[in-house]
Amino acid sequence: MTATDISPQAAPAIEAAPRPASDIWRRGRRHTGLLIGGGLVLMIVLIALLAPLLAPHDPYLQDLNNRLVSPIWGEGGSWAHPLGTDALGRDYLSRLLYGARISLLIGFGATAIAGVIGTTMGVLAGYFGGRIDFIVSFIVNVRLALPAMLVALVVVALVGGSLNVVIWTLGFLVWDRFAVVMRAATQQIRSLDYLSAARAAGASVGRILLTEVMPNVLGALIVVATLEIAQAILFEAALSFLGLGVQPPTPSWGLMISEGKSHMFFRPWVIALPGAALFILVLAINLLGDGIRDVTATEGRT
Amino acid sequence: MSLLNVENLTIDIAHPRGTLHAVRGVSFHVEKGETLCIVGESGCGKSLTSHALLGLSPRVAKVEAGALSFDGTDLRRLKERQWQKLRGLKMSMIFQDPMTSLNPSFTIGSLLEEVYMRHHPGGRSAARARAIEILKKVGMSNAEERLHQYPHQLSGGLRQRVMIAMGLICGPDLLIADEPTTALDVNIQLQILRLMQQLKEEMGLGIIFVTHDLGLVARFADRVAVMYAGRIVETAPVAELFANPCHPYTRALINCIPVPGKTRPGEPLGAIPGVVPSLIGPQSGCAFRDRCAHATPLCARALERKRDGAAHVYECHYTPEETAA
Amino acid sequence: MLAFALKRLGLTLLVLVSVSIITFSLVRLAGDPAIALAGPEATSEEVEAVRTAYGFDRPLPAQYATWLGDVLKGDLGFSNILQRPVLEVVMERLPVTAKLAGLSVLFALIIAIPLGVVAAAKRNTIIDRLALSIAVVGQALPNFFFALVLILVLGVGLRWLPISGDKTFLHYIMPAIALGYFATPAIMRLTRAGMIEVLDSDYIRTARAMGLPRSRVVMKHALRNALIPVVSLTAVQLGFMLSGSIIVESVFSMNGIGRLGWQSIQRTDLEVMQALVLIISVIYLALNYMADLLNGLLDPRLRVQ
Repeated sequence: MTATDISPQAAPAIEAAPRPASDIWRRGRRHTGLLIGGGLVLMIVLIALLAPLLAPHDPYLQDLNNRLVSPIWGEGGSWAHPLGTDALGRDYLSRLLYGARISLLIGFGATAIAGVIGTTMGVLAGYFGGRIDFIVSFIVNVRLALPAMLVALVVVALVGGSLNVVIWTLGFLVWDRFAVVMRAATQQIRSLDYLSAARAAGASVGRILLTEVMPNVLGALIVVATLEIAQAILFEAALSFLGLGVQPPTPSWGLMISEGKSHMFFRPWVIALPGAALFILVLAINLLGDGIRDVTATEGRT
Repeated sequence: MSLLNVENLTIDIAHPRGTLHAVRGVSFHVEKGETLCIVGESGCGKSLTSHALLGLSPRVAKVEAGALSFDGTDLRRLKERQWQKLRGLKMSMIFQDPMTSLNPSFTIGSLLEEVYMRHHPGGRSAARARAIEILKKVGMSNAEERLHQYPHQLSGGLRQRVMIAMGLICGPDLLIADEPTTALDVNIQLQILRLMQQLKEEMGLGIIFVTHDLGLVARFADRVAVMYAGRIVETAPVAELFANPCHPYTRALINCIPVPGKTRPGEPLGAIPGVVPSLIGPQSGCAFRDRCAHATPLCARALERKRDGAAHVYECHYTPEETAA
Repeated sequence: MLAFALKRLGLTLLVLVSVSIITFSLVRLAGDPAIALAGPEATSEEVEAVRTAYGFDRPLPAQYATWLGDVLKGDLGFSNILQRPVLEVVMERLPVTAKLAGLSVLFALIIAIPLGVVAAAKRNTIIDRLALSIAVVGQALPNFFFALVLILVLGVGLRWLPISGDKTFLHYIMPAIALGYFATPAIMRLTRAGMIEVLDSDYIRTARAMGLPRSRVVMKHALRNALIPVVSLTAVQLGFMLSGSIIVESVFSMNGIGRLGWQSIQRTDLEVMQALVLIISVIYLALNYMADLLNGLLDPRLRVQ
């Protein structure tokens, strides 16, 4: 779940001159993966935002007389609970809709924290090189040597599971790819002529980093951020599945799978539904990320 | 019968803006013990032509020929498996960049032995003996020790010698050399060329030497084929070509070479104005006409081959006298 | 090569020291270990008693020094909950996880490398697209969910495989698939990218020009060079599998160190938690170090530098 993809493809191609926006737009409109992924992500984000309006029931409301009701297509299913109910009689559709909020919140939150940490380290290492580069690479190596899942479990167990704890823990654990990719991207930009020109013109380091380097590594940053959101979502689901992430009764998809586990032999949909939701969300985000990488990359790359 | 006979070879490549006619009907032949130089600017189709002779064309290329025969074998009918039996054994090819053309993961010995054993089933010891023999033949000292070295441990010149050794280890009849000296220093270039010359004489090799450097052609070719925009515009024995170039393009190329003792410092070398025409889509008439000082409306008409002596062929509507400046 | 090996070893040891400091502080600083150990119903006197008994009242550097000294002597502490030395408990569980991780990597490689090679050889065809799609789908499938699906289909539905435990080889098949498939996309993509690059290289053209059969060119000349980076990635993935074993071992009730970690967390067995983080890090670093050396052996160009 924590597999950090260190293969070269993880690092998007940086080109000397960024692709013109119109060109990206033209290619984007023809990229099926990007369109499907982007459309699905947009839809899920809307669902998460509008969950209170869309949900037919209160996701926390228990109804012990209507436990484990089948979805509409199953035996005894009814429109009262289109996707059935869980072991405590809570409406499954409502819980799934609210679950999108948890996944997205954690995905965005953890990635924002990780992005700030990793980008800062990567850009500094790539720009200054030398000793700073060595120190950053060292810290990245230390981070990679730590078993992320176990460390996250330990922290959550000792500090106590809550949405905030999970977000901050993940944020402090999944920044490594940001650092690696941003370092490479910055190194590439740094070697280009126009930076030397800016330096020669006497611009301050901070100014160069913000006005010259950042805009040019932005494409790479967006791609990594997208893929990291997917990773963080999977990570949270795994933590919650193990009972050490978001705590009940919060409707997290990972937690729903965990809660449904003991009923899955006779009612497979209790794990299939949140599992499918998780799969679709992560797949959509990955497609979106791959798509952005493709349309912003240099021509001719496969 | 010629060792290699090529008639009306065409190579088309599908391109988003239409078919790219990279090679447009070239004909030539090579005899045993003869060096044919194919000379032309980059993009004129000379490399594609040379690759096609070994069946190594890129998958997107469509190769057709009126005749394509080697030592009595019709190459047009060969299946991949039959090509493989021919390559390395009867005809070999060496390439431009010796830095990247040798597999970095294998020793010189295993690279050479593999080629030999591929065509001569039998023990490794025979292959090893032959590898040492051929390394000595290409002028490498300490051949036995070289066997255990990796390509990156050798200099560019030595690597090109290893390439040549690989090409010749099975004693082929034809060696195709695609710009074999372009990536090398000038003094190494000469060493390699002398080596090829010497091996040609010793082994009775036919050599096709593909280059853009007319200076090298003058020293080492027996015959020369000048290529422009997918056509061979002129073919002649080397002395004849330099003494009596019939095609304006050939003449322009020759004018680009500085002549020691004749060209004074600071004197402008001949440069050919204009650019090579696009090879996409059909084309008729002389491809050089847009850059030719002597072009007339007649040049847009279909060309025919003209002869100037038995071995001198060129494609121009006008005679050398008419186009002489 | 020797200088390279020594330099990498030095760096690895430095990383290890940092990891040990983090591991140690993690358990001390993420909450009060005395409260955690004494339990929720303990009075403040009881908590203080635990604090003194475990030495939690001493300064952290002093505690770290004592702990590190013990670790270097091979003493990973004593689990009060299990009433056994931690090292003994871990060593008892390690073979299960080692076997699981090994089989998982094997599964991943068996799927990923042929798929990557075929995708590269048939680049931009349906086969290539299919392989890439499998990778994208694989990367989106949470492994705990996939593990449950495997149990439902292969275990309960078809009754082909046992669904829990670690007694026989059959018990390992589903867990190895559930753990291994997640590494497949990354390895496949890297193999494909490497093969595409190598197949386009000049020395492959040379091999073909010398009449070597296409199969030999692909399998010997190309694959050998394309797989060099895959070695490092595989080591990294194997390391991640130790971490991922927490989930898979829990789902399949296998008594490896992953499940041990989960159990220790649930019963707040600080000594075991801390030891496991350290041990998994050590194994990860050792794997990476070995991969580096192996790279040097596989790529003659690195050997000399």
